[in-house]
Amino acid sequence: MKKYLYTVEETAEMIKAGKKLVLAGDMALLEQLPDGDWIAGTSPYFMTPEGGIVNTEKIFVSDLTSSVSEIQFKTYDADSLKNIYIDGYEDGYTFLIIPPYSKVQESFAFGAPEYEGFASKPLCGWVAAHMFDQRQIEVGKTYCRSAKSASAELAVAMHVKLPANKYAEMNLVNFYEPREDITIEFLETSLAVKNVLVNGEKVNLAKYIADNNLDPDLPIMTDAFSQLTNVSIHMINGDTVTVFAPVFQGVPYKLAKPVENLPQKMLDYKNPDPVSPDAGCMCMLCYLRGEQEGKKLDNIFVPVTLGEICYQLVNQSVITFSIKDI
Amino acid sequence: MIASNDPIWRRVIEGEVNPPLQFLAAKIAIGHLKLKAKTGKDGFTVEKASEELFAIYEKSAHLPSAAKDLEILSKL
Repeated sequence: MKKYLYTVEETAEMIKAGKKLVLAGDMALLEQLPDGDWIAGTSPYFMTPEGGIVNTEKIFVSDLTSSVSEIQFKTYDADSLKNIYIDGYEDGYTFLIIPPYSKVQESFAFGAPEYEGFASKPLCGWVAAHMFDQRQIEVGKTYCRSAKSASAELAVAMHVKLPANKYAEMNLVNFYEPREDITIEFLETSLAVKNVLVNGEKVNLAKYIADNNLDPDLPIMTDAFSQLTNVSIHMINGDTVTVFAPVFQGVPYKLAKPVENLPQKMLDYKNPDPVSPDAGCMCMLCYLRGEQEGKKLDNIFVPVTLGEICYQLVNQSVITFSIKDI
Repeated sequence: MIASNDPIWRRVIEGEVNPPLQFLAAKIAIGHLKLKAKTGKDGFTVEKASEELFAIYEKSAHLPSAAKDLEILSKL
């Protein structure tokens, strides 16, 4: 069975051997690694062949070496991230890791669909995470080719040119379905929502959720992008609902249907691809609300993160990334 | 490959047809292109959105999911 978790020493050996790696792990481990062809983001939560685990002793390694024709590494701030698509190779893909709660994350969340070349090349990645009991002590960080590059402000990218006989394929796994009786329209593109139109009537969303006893753990969904995508509610504070990814003005949204048993639904999921993905991520909210610790997700072994990048920022889903033969 | 001036690109952007597409890049992009064309933000037009959608498929026409979409689109 393919191995995903490696010690610092094993990971360092792979780096010294010239492997092209995307890494996830505890900060104390990543900061021991030598310089080389790797990017990383912090997260101690992983979906492994042994099940979901929290592990601060090993690093989750996605080894993408075998399909690299050319490679470039680059860091981005909130302003330069607009070039992420045009900087990528024409026949390749970009893997992007963003630090959480940062200006660069906000820039990507709002701006990605407006970036030049949006969706013109595969862009996969995730938002770095952290131990939940450490939030006040440490924030998630990113790394680009060096332990010394640790940053809570810069996004890191690995631009890869693929061999002519390869292509990158991404899939978005969504465990939720929209309910059809409630349509929400947002009055502005935002991460903090007050008044909205619910079935055409102006209401305060926080009050509407409370008055109707709706479950704020369920995502807000839209199929406007011809693909069901989720936005998660972060918190409700007074009359304001904050969300983990922007809701867009002019796009009809639905609330998700209640899921009777999310852990079982995730356990029952069958990955249509018989081959495990080369990389990807699972949303922390899926991991926590789906009670994934100790449970296995069919054939998908990925880090657990604070946001998923599938061309744009999405929530409460699983992203798989695979290199395939044409 | 469907020609860039084929009306199908405009029909997709205007929502006249909503075929079951598989190519994820296009699926994500179509929503934003429709929205930008609808709002006309920064002078964005249906024509511009149609051109961008064509460009996404043109670049990836050799990929299995894009090729399947093109087959579906060519029959509409």
